[in-house]
Formats: sequence, structure tokens, C-alpha cells
Amino acid sequence: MNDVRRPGVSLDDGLDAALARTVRRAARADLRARVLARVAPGPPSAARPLAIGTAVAAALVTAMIAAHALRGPVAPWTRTTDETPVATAAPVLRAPGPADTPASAHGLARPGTGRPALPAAIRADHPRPASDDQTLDAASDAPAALIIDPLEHPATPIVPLYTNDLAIVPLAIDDVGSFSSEDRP
Amino acid sequence: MTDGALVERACAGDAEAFGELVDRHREAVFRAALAALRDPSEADDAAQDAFLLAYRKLRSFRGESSFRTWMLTIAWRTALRRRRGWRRWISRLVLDQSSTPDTRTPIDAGPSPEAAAVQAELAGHVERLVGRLPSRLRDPLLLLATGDQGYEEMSALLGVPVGTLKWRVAEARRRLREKLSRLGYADE
Repeated sequence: MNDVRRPGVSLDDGLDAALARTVRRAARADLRARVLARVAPGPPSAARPLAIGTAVAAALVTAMIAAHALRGPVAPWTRTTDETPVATAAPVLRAPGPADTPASAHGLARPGTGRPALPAAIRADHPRPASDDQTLDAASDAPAALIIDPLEHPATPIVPLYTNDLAIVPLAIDDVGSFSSEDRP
Repeated sequence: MTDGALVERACAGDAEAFGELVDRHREAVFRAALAALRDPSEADDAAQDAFLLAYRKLRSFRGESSFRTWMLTIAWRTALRRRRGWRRWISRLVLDQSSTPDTRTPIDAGPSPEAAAVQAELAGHVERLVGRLPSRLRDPLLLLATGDQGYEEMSALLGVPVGTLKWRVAEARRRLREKLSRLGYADE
């Protein structure tokens, strides 16, 4: 260790001196002249603007308003690079169509229907009618959610299934438990 | 002439009266800004901005506190705004890459060249370690070190109770002492 102990000088004294050296500096003597050079003649309310920061901020706001007017009601930061506005509202559920087939590539969609089905392992072990595995949207007849009871299938990974614009989110245990006995096998 | 009389004259449009106020308080204002910013150049700019702002707001000064306290409060807030500003980030980036020591002579210089050299080395360590303290500890420590204000005035300036300020200063010093000890600095 580099011992810089010095006789007669305590660490507190050295610390005080160092702190004083840090902040006890003299202000520039021309501060008065610089301030008065920027103060307009007359009463204080007539003082000149403090800095160009205000002007820069005003210019930025003006530019943003102009950009907004040019590009329409959708704010620039909600647009994608291909000028397609990004949806800001919650996505609307709709019945998956023929184009919504990515899930079938993983064996998770019922062929020909676009509806999600249970993973193959679950189908093989527990063959059930579709009404037991899926909750159907009464209005559109589209599957709203894939129900997997984690208590019955603890090994089943609980992950959301996504089609093009429809997220199928497994229900939580509490949600499953809220079903009536008539809905259960 | 008192500060109050100078304020009245300045409010009436006497810029020189305000210039006299600047001369009277520029050191304390500069050091308060320096305590917040730890950079003499930035503190100088902050002090100038603070005086200009004070001139614009001079009519709102009611004399409920001393002009000095009012002015120091403006200076402190101006410095804090600058500390949070983007210019601070840029200047710190530049300073970190090419740090040049301030050549202005401190008020308290060492009595001999040797002592001054040792003190300068210690000051360098302290300045670096102070920079690593959290601002809630660093601000009162440096404000107190300016010697321009006591705990009561600092309490009004920072909006923190006196007892809390005392604890923070003591804690800051304890941490600095601990780190200096690791660097080899020790009591007699």
C-alpha cells in the first residue's frame, strides 16, 4: 500500500483542504460585464432571452407540427417504414381463414378449419370432442382460446399460439377452474 | 447601500445597480454552481444564466429572504437544470476523453511547493471519489465545502431538513475516508 501518511496532518484535515480546493475557486472577474451586456436597457422585464434553447425548442415543435400536417392524422412515430400505420388499438379477434395457417405447420392447427387443436401428444392420450378442448366464440364461431388444463397435462408447455393476427392464449388455472361441471369431460 | 436598495434601483431600470449585486454575490453564486456541476467552465455559464434569470424575475423578489439566499436558490436550480441537460452529457463525454485540469489558482493554495503538490494529489483523488458519490450525499458535502453557507441555508436551498443534511455530510465523509484509506491515506 502506498502509505502517504504525513506527520501532523490528519486525514480529516486533508479531506477538508481537498474539498475546499475543489469548490473554492474564484469566479471570473468579467461576470458582471457579461451579465450586463446581455441585459437590455430598461426595467428587468425587458431583459433579452436567456439562450437560444428556447428558439431551438420552438423550431422543433414547429417542425413536428408541419410533419404531422404533411403526413396526415397518424403521428410519424406510429408509422412503419413501408408507410403502413401501426395499429394502436387492441387487435380485433376474427375467425382464422385459409391464410392463417402457420400454426398448422407446427401440427397445432386443425387441418382444413384453421382452428387450433391440441398438441399431438395430448390428442393421442386424451381424445376428446372439440367442444371439450376449445372455447368457441358464439358470434363468429371462431376459436377464442385453446384450453389446456395444466393440472391434467403438467408437461404441456403453456405458450401462446399465434396466427397472423390472432393470438391464442392458454387460460390460467383459475380460468379453467371456473368452468362448470357441464363443460368438463 | 443595501442589497434591498440595489434591488429597488435595478427594478427601476438601473442596470448598474444590478451589476453591483452581481459583483457582491458572484463568488458565492459561482461556487454553488461549481458544487453542483464540478466543472468551472460550466459553473461559470450557469452563474451567468442565473444572474440573467434573476434579473428577469427581479420584480418577484419580495424580500422574504435575503437577496443572497434568493440568488443562491436560483443559481442552484439553474445549475441542476444544466446538470440534467443534454449539454452536460456531451461535455462530460469530451472531458472524459481529454481531461484538462483547471489552471485557475485555488483560493487556498498550499504553503509550500511540496505541500501544494501533495495536496494537489490528494485533491485529485478526492475529486474523483466525490464524483462517484450519489448526488444526495455529494451536493450537501460540496455546498458545505464552499464555506458560503451553513446547514440552515443549505436546508432552505435543498429543501432537506437540517438533521438529514448533517447525516448526509457525515456519511459522505465516512465513505471518502474509507476509500482514501484504501489508497494509502491514513491518519497520523
